[in-house]
Amino acid sequence: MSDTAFNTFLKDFVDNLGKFRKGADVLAGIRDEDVDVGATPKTLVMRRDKVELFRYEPTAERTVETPVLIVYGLIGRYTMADLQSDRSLVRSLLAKGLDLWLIDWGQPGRAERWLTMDDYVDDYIHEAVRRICRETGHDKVTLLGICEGGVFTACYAALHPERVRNLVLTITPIDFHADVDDPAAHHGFLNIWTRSLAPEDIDRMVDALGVIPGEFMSSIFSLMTPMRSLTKYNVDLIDIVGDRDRLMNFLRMEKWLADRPDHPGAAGRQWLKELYQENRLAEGRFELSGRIVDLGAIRMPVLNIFALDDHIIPPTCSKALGQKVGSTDYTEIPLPGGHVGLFVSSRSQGALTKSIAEWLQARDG
Amino acid sequence: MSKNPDDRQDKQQPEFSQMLLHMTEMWRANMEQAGEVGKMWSGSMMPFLTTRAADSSLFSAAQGGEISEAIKRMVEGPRLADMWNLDRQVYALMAAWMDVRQRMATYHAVASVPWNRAYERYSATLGENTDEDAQDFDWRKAFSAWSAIANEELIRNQRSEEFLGAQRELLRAALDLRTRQQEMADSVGKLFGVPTRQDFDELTRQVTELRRELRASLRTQEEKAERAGVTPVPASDEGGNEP
Repeated sequence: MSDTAFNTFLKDFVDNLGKFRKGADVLAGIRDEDVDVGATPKTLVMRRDKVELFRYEPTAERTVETPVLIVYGLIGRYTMADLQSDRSLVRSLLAKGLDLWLIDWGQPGRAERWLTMDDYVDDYIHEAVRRICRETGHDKVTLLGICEGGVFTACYAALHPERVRNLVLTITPIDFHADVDDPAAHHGFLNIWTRSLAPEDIDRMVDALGVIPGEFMSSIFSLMTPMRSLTKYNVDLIDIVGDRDRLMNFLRMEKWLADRPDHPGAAGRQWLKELYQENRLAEGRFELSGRIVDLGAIRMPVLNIFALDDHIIPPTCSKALGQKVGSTDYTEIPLPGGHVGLFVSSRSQGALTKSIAEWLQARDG
Repeated sequence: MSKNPDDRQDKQQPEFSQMLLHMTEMWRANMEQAGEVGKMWSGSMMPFLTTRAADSSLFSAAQGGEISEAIKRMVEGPRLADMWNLDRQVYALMAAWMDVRQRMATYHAVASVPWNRAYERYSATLGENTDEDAQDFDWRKAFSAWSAIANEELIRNQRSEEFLGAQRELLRAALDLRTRQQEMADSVGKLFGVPTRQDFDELTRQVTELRRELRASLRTQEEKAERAGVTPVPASDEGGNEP
């Protein structure tokens, strides 16, 4: 081997050792409470079981009168939309003059095993919407759904259209079998994995554990990006460990990833069996509280935003909404980035906020 | 660890390539030895599915299935009304534990396949390197190239019938074990008059259904009042809804 190559290798090696040592010192000085996620100020307005409704404190003059309710899913937590001050969808939308509200599902456990999607849509979301209307004097709200929360809000909009002014969906699966139309090899593993199971396997899991454990879902997500999962605590860390700001960003993301509540069992059965396996929503066979969820009944303006490199929810699964809704005011915005990157990367953050705020401003009143 | 490309090919590589090849081999060997791929899934899955129910070395000889079969026969034998039920549960637990170990071994075998493929592909790319490449050696670039190939192979493998089938069988075995453990725990709990998990589930089911009925009834009243033009009283804010 030439001296030059060997010397370069050794120099890199020594540099990296130095970085790690410096990084270890920085890490030693950081406590968990220093890694603040979901920190934008908000006020608790209603509590129903473990579910809480918050209203964010305004930071700018109101430009959109209709209140906007953010609904995250039960897989992961809403803090993804408010990860850090300079990469927070919540803060950016507040700065654009929106009246923002949030449902936090809390930490469901075994006691919530019997809660169904019917309860989440027709009880918790419905009560939150009614409460917002009472507090603000509006008769309708705008719903902003994220991922599984997008499915909840789409169902709500279909079943209670009289309560919804606008529907904004982000990274939301509608056709759970449309992953087969996505050419990217790394997209849609969750769809394939779920279909590889028998319906009885989902039943077994819920019967045995009462929930779909958060750790279990995390492990499936890790499989989707295998090398990234194997290198993030070693090779990748070398690049960031010496830079406190980047390290804090990394730790915030880790905190969000670690905060993955269990998915209530009965709702999990519906999510994995009726939607992922049987694709009932797209086929007009999904039923909540004894009523079929007819996506054609969504006639209010709809904004559908998806990430072009979303490996968890393939873009084709989200785009399918366009063919299903009854609305004549349907807008689709594909943005660069991945499932999480859409919300936390500096590249797509601005575009996401701008798209939502401008679209809502044009449809307020 | 399976040594892959033949030595003659190795010797023909330039010195720089030899170094990368060596790094690749080390990386692959580490991955295999540590069983990282399998652990990514099973490592996070197992803590809540299993406990150390038995000394693994005791049952390692059972991979062939003889002991396992014998235990299964005991479990599946005729049931007596008042005898041996606890013993039966212990045997069922042991059989389930052995099943998990066998499924885990199969899963690890399937999960290790793409590493060999990635190694072959990466080795092939090294043959194209020249001495000039050696001058500009950058371990990040080299690692990045290796990582991209490995990632591709791992993803391809995950989508294969073999991988999905092995994972499914492991999941089933692990859930069966978890169920057997719970049966044991419930039996012991009953002996001491401790409420079982089944009792807890039944209680929460009743509470959930009662709450559902109550809230539906309250909502109907409120909506009736709203339609009649009466100022709605937030009756459904029962149970401490106010913060």
